[in-house]
Amino acid sequence: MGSIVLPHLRSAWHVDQAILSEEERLVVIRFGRDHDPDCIRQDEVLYKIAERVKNFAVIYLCDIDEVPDFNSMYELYDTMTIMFFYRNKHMMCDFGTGNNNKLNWVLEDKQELIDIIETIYKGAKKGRGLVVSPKDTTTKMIDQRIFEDLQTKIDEETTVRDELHEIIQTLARKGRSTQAILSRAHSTPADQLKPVLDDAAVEILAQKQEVLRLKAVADQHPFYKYNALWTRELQNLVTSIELCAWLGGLQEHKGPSSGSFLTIEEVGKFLEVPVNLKEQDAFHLTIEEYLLALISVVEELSRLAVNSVTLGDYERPLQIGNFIKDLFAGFQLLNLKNDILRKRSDGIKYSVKKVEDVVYDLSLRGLVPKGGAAA
Amino acid sequence: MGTKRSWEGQAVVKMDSTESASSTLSIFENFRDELDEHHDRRERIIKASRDITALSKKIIFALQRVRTTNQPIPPNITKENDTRLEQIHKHFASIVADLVGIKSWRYQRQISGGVQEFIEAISFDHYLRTETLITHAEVASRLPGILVTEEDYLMGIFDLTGEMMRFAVTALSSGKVTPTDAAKAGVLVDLRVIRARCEALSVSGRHRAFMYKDISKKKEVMQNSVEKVERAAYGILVRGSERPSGWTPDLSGPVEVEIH
Repeated sequence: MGSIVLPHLRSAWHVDQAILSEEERLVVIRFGRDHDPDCIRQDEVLYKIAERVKNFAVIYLCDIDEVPDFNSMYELYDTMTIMFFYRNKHMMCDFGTGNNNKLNWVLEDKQELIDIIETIYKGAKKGRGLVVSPKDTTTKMIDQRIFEDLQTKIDEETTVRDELHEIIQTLARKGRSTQAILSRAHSTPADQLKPVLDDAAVEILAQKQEVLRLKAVADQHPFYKYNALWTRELQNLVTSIELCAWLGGLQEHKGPSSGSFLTIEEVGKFLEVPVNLKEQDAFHLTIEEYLLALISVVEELSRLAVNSVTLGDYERPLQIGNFIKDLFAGFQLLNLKNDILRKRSDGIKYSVKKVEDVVYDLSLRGLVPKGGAAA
Repeated sequence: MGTKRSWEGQAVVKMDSTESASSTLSIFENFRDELDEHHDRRERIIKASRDITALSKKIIFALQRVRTTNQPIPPNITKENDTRLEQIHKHFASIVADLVGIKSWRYQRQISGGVQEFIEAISFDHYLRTETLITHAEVASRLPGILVTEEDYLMGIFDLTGEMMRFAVTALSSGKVTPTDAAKAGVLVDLRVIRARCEALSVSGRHRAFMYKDISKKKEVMQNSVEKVERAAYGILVRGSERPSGWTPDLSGPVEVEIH
């Protein structure tokens, strides 16, 4: 009965057309010989469910003697084979049999067959190529939803990470150009620094926009779940801000009370992000990030101390020396544990020593300007 | 420090830095308090996590003495484990306050080990009693106030397969379950189902460094576990007939030795 009513695909062209032209539904093709007992049994079942699955699947029959074109390609050696296609793509299904390409045994349980077709259709809609058959419930061991839910959660997280990643990439790219501009400070005398700092400020403000974009997305999710993704770039940005400010840029954002560097609150105010949130779960600048950024500033300034001398500026090393000694004293107050902050802050003392050596060399030769460090 | 190097600069340096230095110090004093609080909390959580891990392991050892599935756990083992569970819950309760709100994800990595081991223990217990896999929701309901991530759940399930392997091999070598029966129903079949489902999960490699980073390693261990049971079934089927009647495998030694 089934093989008479269900549509037949009479040539390879018909098969291709059937697979190609169906845009919305799953294409189910039974390959076999119409007179074969297995096929007769299966066709009967297919015929009975055709109406019930018609919203998401269309069923065709194909006689492998009449259309032998696919026999070797699809390895159609069984008496009866059912294959699934969606938008010209072969859908695989793990039936727990080891053969994921096709269903090659007669399945007479109508509900089970409907479930399989529906599962494959749902998987195909989500863009999967391989679906796990609900038929594999030889035991009731696993609640089917457990792994479906897990997969959904994994997919959701991947989407969030993709979205964040894209923003952070942009932030990083802009960060590199900020750093490139700021590194010109090493070769620019202090009195000609203004244009460099103005350029840097423009880039920093562009980065700030990215941070705000990041904040908008990150605020929808638990902060610390994704913090590791952007922490590095945010630190780099804070380093640039501090460096730029120390060199005399971004003056309008410096608080009146602050000495030579921006406090964490001032950085937060500048970036328009909260800092050091302890209760509220939202995007913010953490203390650790701020401190790590300061350590980078110290490292960068110790290099600048050397280069200032080369540029003939004997005053700046003294300023740098005072500043980083000040910070060093601050860092020594912290009780650091074995973590990144400790490793990085261990480097400060070498930076301090480097600058002290420069100052020593200068003063030994009487090169220190009188009253120099007052500037 | 270092100020005496230049008598010229010295006085100036002092004048200049005292004010800013004291403000810097007060800023850093504030940071110190914040960081101390963070480190103390972190250590409390790590300690609790370790204790929970140790207790969970003991629960699992006790459960490995069970010989049947789909039946209540024998009372002597239940009694033992109940006290351990109680202790575990005390440990969790002691750090719930440290893990509220934003802190739940901040210290997730510190507590994760304990949570995973706990999931392994209760999922094994759940499996032995009901022959079913505990759900994420059921796990979460047993840990009020604690964040149970999907990742922890999945990793716990991977570890569960190791326990199921040990259980199955013991059952097979005790002769209570024949290899042919094992292939039809029971632990081996369930292991294969879990394996198939876990293998079907697709985690994008783009974020490998950040999410589900242990998955490939755990997957491999799980695949090995399933294979061990399959080999054990095979070995007993093939070589079992050569054994003298009334012979039972020596269970005194570790079972794994037989199948390697």
